[in-house]
This record gives sequence, structure tokens and C-alpha cells, in this order.
Amino acid sequence: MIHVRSWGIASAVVDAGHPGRAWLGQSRGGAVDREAHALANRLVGNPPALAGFETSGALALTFDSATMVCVTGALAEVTVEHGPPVGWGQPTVLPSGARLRIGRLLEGARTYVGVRGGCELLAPDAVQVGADPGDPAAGQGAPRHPLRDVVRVWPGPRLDWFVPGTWEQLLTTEFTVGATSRVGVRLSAPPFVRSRHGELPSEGLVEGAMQVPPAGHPIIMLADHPVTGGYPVVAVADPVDLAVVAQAAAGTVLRFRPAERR
Amino acid sequence: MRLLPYGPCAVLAEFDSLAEVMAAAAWWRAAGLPGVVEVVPAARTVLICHDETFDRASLTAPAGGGAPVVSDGAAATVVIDTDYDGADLGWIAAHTGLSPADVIELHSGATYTVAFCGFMPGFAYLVGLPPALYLPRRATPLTRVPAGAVAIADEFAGVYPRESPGGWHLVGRTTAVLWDDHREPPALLPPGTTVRFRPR
Repeated sequence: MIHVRSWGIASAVVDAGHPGRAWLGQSRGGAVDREAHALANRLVGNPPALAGFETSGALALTFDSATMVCVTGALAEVTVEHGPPVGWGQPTVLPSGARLRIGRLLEGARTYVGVRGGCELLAPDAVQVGADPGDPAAGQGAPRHPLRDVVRVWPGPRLDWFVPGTWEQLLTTEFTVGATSRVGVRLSAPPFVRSRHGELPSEGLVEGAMQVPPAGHPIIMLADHPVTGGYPVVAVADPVDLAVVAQAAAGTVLRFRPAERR
Repeated sequence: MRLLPYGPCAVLAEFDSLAEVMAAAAWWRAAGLPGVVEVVPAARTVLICHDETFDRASLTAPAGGGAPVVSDGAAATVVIDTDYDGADLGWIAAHTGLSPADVIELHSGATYTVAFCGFMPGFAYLVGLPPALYLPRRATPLTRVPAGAVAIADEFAGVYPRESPGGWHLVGRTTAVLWDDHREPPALLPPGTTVRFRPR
């Protein structure tokens, strides 16, 4: 069992989500940075979809039995009491009674704590650790790559609802992240200008879709996006760069480059 | 049908009418096109999400264009037992020139089809509402619509799967479970399902 002493900021127990339900009105959900979530699982020897913790800081856990954990995603101030240090990307066995705290995030927007066996929320502050997966944990830690700030994009279905030159504007502008949530990342820069006005009947959204509300400041959709939306989508982030969007913290700058067929 | 680009893993097919959308979505879903992972109908579009094995040339419009198709949910009609005691029955009657009893008779006498889902998990937009009940949605949404609320707006009927804010007009309520994570599929009313409301 893991006791959650403090849930902190935007923390949750998340799995890999449930693709294939958009036609029923439910987006994928699950880990916002799926790569970091899967990496944490791989390092502790779990199948990639098992549930673990996602947090934007101030998550405090107490372990009441020996448990292997691994921290990935955003670099954070990590402290351990009554146990060995837990480095980024290093699978570590915490003994019974150990306290793990993910403090302030230093770089990135979401930190993941993989737990060998996976997690299931039993009560508001009690998390059950699942059965041992049987597979070995990683024999060595993962290297941590520096955060990227460039997102490759494709033209969106409604690029033609904007004035000529909008694609070039997207590729030559620095966008500052205003806020990030499980729904999406809000960007600010000189606004996009519509050439076509009037209402767009709501249409399907994908993760990475860059929707432009009337004020002209785009929002890039993340794991909990609504399945349909009525603002025109000007561009779409390539799925390989969704993790860059997922880790873009408020105040950081993102740049966009044209994606190429692989 | 116009195909609009939507990145490397999706394409958006745009149509002139909801009937064409429903026909195409049912057709593509039934066809089981190789590489397609999602078929998401909306008001005028069908979003096709796919993997790298998908061939865009396989995405042809169904024969017969916008002709009505037998929906893939036609095998079973879902009947929603409804208490017609909605807070807006009187308002709907006043704005349609009907009596509340007429409103109930029209609403429960129609056969509906789920055109698409959206707004929240399991919220189905039903077509088949008698035109006499077409009313624009509220100018100011209600801050709290209860779970199970049976409602109408524009040309649609629907049921709120859970409590939420909402801009539709309330005609009644049901105890039917619209969304259950442990059911497959979790939605009671997937696109294509035939639906009737039965007064209780």
C-alpha cells in the first residue's frame, strides 16, 4: 500500500488511457506525457500501460512495504526519508516506511512515478500496489535528454479559415506557454487572423490539434481534450512531438517547424 | 465529400448534411477499413484516425451518397423509460403552441437515431425529433442539469449521462445508465443506435 500524504499540484493515478472511444464522446485520457509514463513503467519492469503517478509537484507518498519506484518526466526536486536516494530514471527499491516527495518541478510540466506492479486508487489517500509483473526491472537507469522546445507541425483542416501567410506566421513566431492542463496548452503570441468568419459546426479533435478561439491565441489539445470542438484547427502537432507539448510549462517558449513524411 | 488534411494519423471528411455524415460513418465503421483506429462522426464531418498501414484511397464515399442507411445499431432498439416531469415542459409548450401533453406525445412517439456523441462521455445527439419541437438552445446555460435529464435543443434530443452545466431544454428524466466504464462499449447509445423514449 502507498499512502498519499499530499496530492500536491494536478496529481493523479494515470494509466496509458483508452484509445478508441472518441466516437462515444470520451478522449484517450491517461498520462499526458505517454512517453515518460511508459519509460517509468519499462524501468521498473512493468507492462507499458500500468497505472502510476502523474504530478506537477508537491506529491508526498509513504510506502508501507518495500516497493520499486522510478521517477521520469519533468525534472523535480525529489527527496526521500528513510530510504535511498531516487535519481531521475533510476529504478530504486524503497523500504517499508520510506517517504518519497516530488517537490518543485525544475524543468518540464509533469513528473511521473512508476511503481513496480502498478497502482490502483483504493481510497482518496490510499493506493494499492499491484502484483509483481514477474519481468526484471531495467539493469541500468535511462539517460535524461534535455527538454526540447521545437514541435513539428502539419497543416490543419481549417488552415484556409485564416488569412494568407498564417502558416508562415506559425513557423516564424515564438509562442509563450500561458497555461497547461490535462485538456491542453494555451499559447500566446501575436494572434492568428481569421479570413473566414461565422460558426464552424463542432468537428472531431485529435491530440496535438491546434485550435484557435476567436481571440486568435491557439490551444494545443492534450490527453483530456473534448472529442469535438467548434474552433478552427489551424495545425496539428506531429505525434512524435506530443511529449514536447506535454512538458511545456507555463512561461516557456515553443517554436514550430514543418513536419516531413517519414 | 471533401477530404481535409489532419496530420499523419487522421483525415477529416466533410459533408453537406448530417444524413451524409451518418451514412458515411456507419459505412466506414461497418467496412472495417484496414488501419482505421477511430471513426468519429460530428455534425458535418467524420474524423478518421488511422495508423501507418491505412491507405487514404480506401476512403470512398458510400454508394447512394446521403441516402439513409440501415444503422449498425438497428439490431436492437434501446428504449429509455422516461418520467416526463422536466422543468421546461411548460416553457416548451408555451414556445411551440402545444400543450404539455402534446409535447410528451410527440417526443415519446418518435423514433430516433444516434447521429454522433460529444460534449461528455456517452452524450448522444439523437436525430428524429419532430420539427414542431425544434427550439434554439438556452441563451444562458443552466449551471446544473441532473444526471439522466432527458432534453431537447435545435433538431436534437439527448440524455445527460451525468450532472453538468447544460443549455438544453429539460423534458424529463430517466434512470438509465448512459455511461458505464465496465460495460463494452461503455456508452449505452453509440452512433447508429435506434432509440425510443417510453413514458413511465
